[in-house]
Amino acid sequence: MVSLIPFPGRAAAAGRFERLLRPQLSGMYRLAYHLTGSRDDAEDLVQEVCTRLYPRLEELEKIEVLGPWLARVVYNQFVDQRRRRDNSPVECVGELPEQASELPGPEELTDSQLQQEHILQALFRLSDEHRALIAWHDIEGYTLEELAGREGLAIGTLKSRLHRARAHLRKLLGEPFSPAIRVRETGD
Amino acid sequence: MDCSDFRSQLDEYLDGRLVAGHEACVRHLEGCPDCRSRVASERRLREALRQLPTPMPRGSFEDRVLRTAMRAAPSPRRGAWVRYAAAAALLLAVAGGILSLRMPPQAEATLATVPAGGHAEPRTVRLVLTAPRALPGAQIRLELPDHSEFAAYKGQRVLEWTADLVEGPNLLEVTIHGPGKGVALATVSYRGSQRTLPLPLESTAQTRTRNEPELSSEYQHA
Repeated sequence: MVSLIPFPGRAAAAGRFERLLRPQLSGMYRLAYHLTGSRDDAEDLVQEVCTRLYPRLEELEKIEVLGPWLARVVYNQFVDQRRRRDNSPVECVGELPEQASELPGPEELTDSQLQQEHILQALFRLSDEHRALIAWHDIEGYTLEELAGREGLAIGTLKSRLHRARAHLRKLLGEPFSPAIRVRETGD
Repeated sequence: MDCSDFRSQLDEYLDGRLVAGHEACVRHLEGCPDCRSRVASERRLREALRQLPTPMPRGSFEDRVLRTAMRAAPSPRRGAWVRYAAAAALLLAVAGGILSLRMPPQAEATLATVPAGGHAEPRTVRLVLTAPRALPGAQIRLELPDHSEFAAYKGQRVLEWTADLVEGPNLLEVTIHGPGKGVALATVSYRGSQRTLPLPLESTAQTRTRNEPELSSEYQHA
């Protein structure tokens, strides 16, 4: 029986990949969750991104600031997924996030939790594209320049899309936004 | 500036992107309680968005993601190695050149090289190191000919690493890019002993001209 000598590429590459990616995974997951609205989908999205990135380790190692770069990859992967899935030009009304069903009952909710649930419900009624921009900019705090990246997406276009996304969100929330929840639909 | 003008620039104002119109917005806000209220409302919304909760991923998420990514990646897998081990033995019978590497006094090894699959790029080189006994922590160094590189390490033609060699044959498979000819250098170091052997990466015909022992002896230490 011939014994197998591990080639250094495999073990060493795995270590290098882990050192680069592990500190970034929680941020990638958080963004993925706010993009997808589902823990399962968020985990799957991060998994798909990491699986695609592993063979590109050398490219990863050349990225100076990895966080926004990875976030953009997650964002682009999400947008690509949804575009492939939804060929319809009609805006998709997303499903309610898992978060809503995981919250305690209405009588147990604080005002803050009610507010969060209200926002989440509105957020996941946005189109994927609008929600993705708000998740990117207003929830995760990345800049539009970081989203544009080296590919040179037009900042002006992104700004106007973000503006429309916010306007839609405000409309769904009822403007002006107030910390006090006016109506909570229990669905009962 | 009236309220309509201000509200059309509200996002820009709150994002800090206004340059020319910033002062005008500030002056408008000073005299307009409705727009001040609107700004306060927008700020509350943005603060609430930043504080939206995220459910924790399922247990061992990070370990699971990394492990799956690395397992799914197109790199050598153990299953493939086992197949190559059998293939290597066959190739040795046909084209293998056997080079002896003596590791005095306690360590000995036989090293064989097999150029596999002709000279199309990239190509795979398989090495068999036969150790008379276990050599834990042996240092292995591979230096490829000029203008060659390891497929897994672009631009790199020298690799050094530590491996535990077991008694008997130890197979190593290396995928390289480069010209069809040249001599690689393989060095095995163990507890202060070191031997370097040239590994010709020439054509099969040239390799056959070498003095070849029987295949069975390839798995015996020299």
